[in-house]
This record gives sequence, structure tokens and C-alpha cells, in this order.
Amino acid sequence: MNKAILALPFALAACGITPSGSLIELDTKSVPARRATVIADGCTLDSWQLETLESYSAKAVIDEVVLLCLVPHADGTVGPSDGSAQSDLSGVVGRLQSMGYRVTLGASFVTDNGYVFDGNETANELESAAWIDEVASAIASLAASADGVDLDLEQLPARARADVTRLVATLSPKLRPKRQLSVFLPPSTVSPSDVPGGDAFDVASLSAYVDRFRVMTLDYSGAQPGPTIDSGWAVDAVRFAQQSTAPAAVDVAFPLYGNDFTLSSTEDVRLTTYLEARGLADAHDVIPERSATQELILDWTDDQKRAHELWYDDADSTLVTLGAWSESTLPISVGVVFYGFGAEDPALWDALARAEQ
Amino acid sequence: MRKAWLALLLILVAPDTRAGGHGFAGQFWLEATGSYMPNTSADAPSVGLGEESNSARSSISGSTRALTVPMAFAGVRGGIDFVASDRWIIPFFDLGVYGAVGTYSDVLSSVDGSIVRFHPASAFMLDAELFGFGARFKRRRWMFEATVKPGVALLGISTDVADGRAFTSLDAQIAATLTLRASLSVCRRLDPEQRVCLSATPNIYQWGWGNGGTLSLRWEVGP
Repeated sequence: MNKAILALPFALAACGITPSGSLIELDTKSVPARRATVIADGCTLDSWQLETLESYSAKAVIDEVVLLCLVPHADGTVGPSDGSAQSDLSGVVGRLQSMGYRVTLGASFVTDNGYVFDGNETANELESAAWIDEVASAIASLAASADGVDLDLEQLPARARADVTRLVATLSPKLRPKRQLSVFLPPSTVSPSDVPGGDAFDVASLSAYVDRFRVMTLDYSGAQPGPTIDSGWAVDAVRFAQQSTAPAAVDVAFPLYGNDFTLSSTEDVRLTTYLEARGLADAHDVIPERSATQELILDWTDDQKRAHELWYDDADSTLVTLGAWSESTLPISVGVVFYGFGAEDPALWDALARAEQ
Repeated sequence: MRKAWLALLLILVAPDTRAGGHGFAGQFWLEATGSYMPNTSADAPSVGLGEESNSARSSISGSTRALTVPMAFAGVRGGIDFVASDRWIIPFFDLGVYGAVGTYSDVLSSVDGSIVRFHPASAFMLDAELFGFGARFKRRRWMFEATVKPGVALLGISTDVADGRAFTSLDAQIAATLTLRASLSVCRRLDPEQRVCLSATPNIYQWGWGNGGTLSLRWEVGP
């Protein structure tokens, strides 16, 4: 008798029907309007990127453009070093500013012989106070016409912790308060850090010299096939950072690019664009599947018969993630930094402009 | 157990029938119901997760936004009322169980930043009402009743949390609300102790003001 009573609600609950594949997305109907930044690789923007930035929807959504452009060298100089390149850069900065965007120049501390982060090499360079002073002065000079500077230091060992603070403390007075200084922060969720390079940043000390930390919640899956971001993990990383970032502001990062994992080699991950993913789907006659995180997955096989798993976002999945970051989850003061400008679904900015509250 | 219930019913019901409708007695009822909630307001059911986890996070806790999804239920409810002077009804206690009926899309939402999916098609609801007030009058074989009852309702809905490529199933999550319902009934006497009633019960409050209501067919035993 008792078992029958307990079973009754479940028996009744079996009467409802769910049509296969049907889904109502509640959170995408309204996405919090956050301060938005796009990060573009390089000192120039291609015509499609410029056209996007000229659009009404992009102007409605995007506040700031970061050109990841400056490259400090081992000899203390900072590229671009030739006059014509610097003149072109000033032109791009001026053009973007005339469109109404704040423009920031990002300095990537990569090796001289290629766009690769070598944390140990950078840590060795940072041990020299003279090198720091030279690099800080050069960055400040190159960013004279910009609205600020972003520092992108990756894969640093923990021994670089004090030197990173010294670099930021040296650069800060050369920029602030007229221009802003932001720092890319590894997405740690615990202390000691659970991500490479996380312990090289003494966030509490840095916060005195920095206007904004950008918590780089990207490449969640690392080298293993999986989503480029998990919206909940990103919330944990931002909350952890916020324990010591005050008074500096915080951004959460969202990837506009996709990751193409070659399944035969776990170390092989290649960045892709939305349009490339669509092209691969057409060329290999494959229909992408939507993952639980709503990211699209394309399972395809290349000409060498190697299986690939390509994870990428479209406008729908981006809105789902941004909608999950409701104001009660992340304060509205937390901005969003979109990484990989130009790699996104072309429909994104229109969709975001419509969805923002 | 069954004998104990029957004895209790007889104690509650029998005295009044012998008293010719001038005492204080009880009545028992059982009904089959169909209910509908449009769930359009911000007070619509919001489901909370308490300390769930997936491979990305050790702790996910919080509530969804209001699940503004219309829902229909079918179920059964039974209860006991007291009747005074053959006129005033004092609803004592009733309990109902319901399951979702109809066709539903799954609902994608979020809790604490993590993506979650709900299955309204498998939802079930429990409600209970304690005390209330009402009146009735009889005309030949017909009786008309009106009652107002406060109570509580629980909505259970099966939930998954996104975990990379696939979803991970969680236990059914519960949303709760206070309720206030008004019921209007028309009853036809079958014999001196039994009657069958048709009831319309608008939800004055149930996950929002004026949020739908219930139609039911009731069997009553009492004076």
C-alpha cells in the first residue's frame, strides 16, 4: 500500500511527452549588458573586422578593442620597432577611436623566434630590473596614442611572482591615470593555482597598480577534446580572482575561436574560426552536433584519415553562456572580454545587440 | 491500517447524518483533477540546486530564473472537511498528487553559471491544504459549495547539468510555493450520504497571482 502511494506521483509524471530535440532556451531571452572588449591578434585589422566594428550592432555591444600587438624582445626593445609599422599602428588606433571605441594595445611576452610563450625565458628576462625599465618605457611610448595597455604574460613559473609585480609597478606610473593598465590573469580557482602560470601573479599586490584584470577563462579542456569554455568554471575563476582584485575591475573571457582537436595526438590542438568550421562541415558533409554546453561539435576526418573533434561556438551557444552569467551570478561590474575577434559567428553581434537588456 | 482509516471516517461522518444536519460533523471527499498553470509571472516556479557538482565544479548551488513554461497536470486529491449547522464548511486537511500531462519541450536554463536542462514532461506536483473557510446550501438533490483554502505546493522536475559533451542527471529538483485557492462546486446527491460534485478552483495564488486553476470531479461522503 505504502509503495503504491509513493509510486503514484512517478506514475502520473510519466504522462508528459517531450518531442525529440525540442528545447526552450530561457536565459538567452535577456543577456546582461556588460562592458564588452574584443581582443584581436596583431597590429592591424582586416577589412571584415573593420566592417564589423563599423556596424551598428557592434557599436551597441563593444566598448573597447585590444590589439594584441606589442612584443617585448630579449634586448629590451618592443616591437613593432620600425617607424612605418608604428605609424600604421597609430593610424589604426586613431581610426578605431574615431568609431567610438576605446583602444588598448596588448603586449604579449612571447619568444623572439616565434609567437610562443616560454615562461622560463620570460622569467629570466624579468629578473633584470634594467630590462623591465626599458620594456616598460618602450611600451608606454608605443601606447602613447592608445587608451591603455594590456599585459599578456603566460606560462610563467612561480619564481617570477615578485618580478611580475615589479614590471607592473614600473609600467603603471608611466601610463596611469591618463591611460589604463590591464593584466591578463590565468583562470585559477584555488590557491596554489590549478593552472599553469597562475602562481606567478600576486593579485593582491598587483591590484594597486592595475585598473582591470582580465580573467582568461579560455581553453577549459586544455589538450583534451572538450569545450573551449565551461560557463560555471568561468564563474568560479572570476569569483576566486575577485577575492583579491579590489579595487581593480574584472573581466571574464569568452572565446570567439574554436579548437580543433586531432584525436590521434592529444597534444595537437589548432585554433579555428567559425567560418572554417562551417567550411569543414560542408566539405566533409558532416552535420555538427550540439553539446550539453551548447557549443557545436564537428566530428570529421582529414585526408590523412585522422579523426578530429572540432569544438566551436555560434551565436546561440554564445548567448546561452552569456545568459548563464546573470547579474545575480556575476555582478554587472564584471565585463566580458571576447578573445579572437574575427573568428566569431558573423551573426553574433546582431544577436547580442538584440538580447542585451 | 485500512480499518483505522475507515473507523476515523465513520467517526467524522456518521454523527451529523444522524443529527439531521444540525450538528458539527465531518465529510470525506476524493476527486480526480486536471489543472493548468500558465506560469507567466516572475513568481513562476524557480528550481533550486543545493550543492550539486560536475566535472567542472565541485559545488553548484543556486536557483534558476522563473521557469515561465505553461504546465498542465492530472491527478487525485482527497481530504476531510468539517461542516457546521449544515451551512458552514471548515476544510480541515487535503492532499493531492499530480503528474504533468501534455507535450513539452525541454527547458535550458542555468544555475550559478552552469547550464542546466529541465524536463517539464516528467514533472510531478504535491500539494496540501490545511484549514480554510466556506459555505454551502442545498436545494432538493442539489448542493452548492464555495471554499477558500490556504496551503503549500511542491513541484518536482527532473534536471540535468551540462558536463562537457553530455548532460549529467541530477535528482529531481523541487520548487515550493504557498497557495491560496477558491473553489466553487455544484453537487448532485446520490443518496443521503453520498454525492458527486463538479468543481472549478481558480488559483488565487500559486507561483504567481491568478496562475491558472483546477477542474475536478469529486465524490463526497458526508451530511
